[in-house]
Amino acid sequence: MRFCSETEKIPALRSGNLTEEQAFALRRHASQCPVCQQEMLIEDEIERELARGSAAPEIEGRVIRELKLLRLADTEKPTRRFYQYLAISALSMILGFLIMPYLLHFSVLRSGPYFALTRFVTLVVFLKSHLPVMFVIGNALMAVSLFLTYPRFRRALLSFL
Amino acid sequence: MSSNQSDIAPLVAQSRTGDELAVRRLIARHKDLIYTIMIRMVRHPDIARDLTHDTFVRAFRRLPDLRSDELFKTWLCAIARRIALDHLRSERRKPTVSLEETGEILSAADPAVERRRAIIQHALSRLSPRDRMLLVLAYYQGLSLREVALAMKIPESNVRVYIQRARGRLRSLLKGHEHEILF
Repeated sequence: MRFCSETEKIPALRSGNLTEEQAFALRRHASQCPVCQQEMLIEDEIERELARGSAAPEIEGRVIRELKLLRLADTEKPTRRFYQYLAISALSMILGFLIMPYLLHFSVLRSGPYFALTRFVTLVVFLKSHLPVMFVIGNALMAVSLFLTYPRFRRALLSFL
Repeated sequence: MSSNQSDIAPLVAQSRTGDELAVRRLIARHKDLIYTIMIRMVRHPDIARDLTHDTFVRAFRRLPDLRSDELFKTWLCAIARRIALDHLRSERRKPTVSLEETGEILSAADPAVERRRAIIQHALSRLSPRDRMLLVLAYYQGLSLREVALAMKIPESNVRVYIQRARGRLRSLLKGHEHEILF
């Protein structure tokens, strides 16, 4: 194949990146240059192939079936989620009652329920007297847990920052 | 453009209310476009069909997120692009199947035409997924520059330059095959 430096401009011409004058000059040149004419024909073939589509198989029924199933799953989800939250809350309470005496250095079984209650009251009084600090720590913990578990909150926070 | 935007918007609005017929019509109108994108991206008819299905399922599930009903087609293309790229990323290590092996989309009557298509398709498959997607969107159904920019998430002012570069890269991959393409 012979060489013509103008062929390099043909992709720009076909993509609409030349000014009117440049495009006119290139077309005039191409009408007399066999190398550019051949390049134009190749570009025609490429465009024809790119414009050729493929007929898709029948998928409408399958998509609609899946959408129906997903919609059904969505309606069931809140109930399932409610029981999940309930189970997690119950587990947290049990763990709290098991861990708290250990942290406060006493055993509910050995010290008796009255002593345990007074220790809990002491803890509540302590927390109350440090309310601003607890408020900040509580919110920070909540933000961290939301950030770790809730993608929409994470995205919103990151976009805000 | 085969599907008129003014026809699409009412169908999208009906789909939002759960109208099954509207959903069917929207799929029927856009499935060839999405399937063509997928087949160019993944080069396997079965996978392309599954990814086309996934695109529509995801689109109709996320229909409330669509800001303007007129932008449905562009938005659908953006979803298809994301699904195709995710698939390619997950399949990066697996061997690809050539179009000759699949034997579905190269069914031309003339062997010379078939050969020409195979050469161009092979060169197309060697482009980056981004270039491939750009060329399919720009030339198949001829989306406007704005639509291509929205689907590809690139600035509208750069679309022409990106298309030109992608075409240049495709052309350089076809070097040495000029005779087969033209004759």
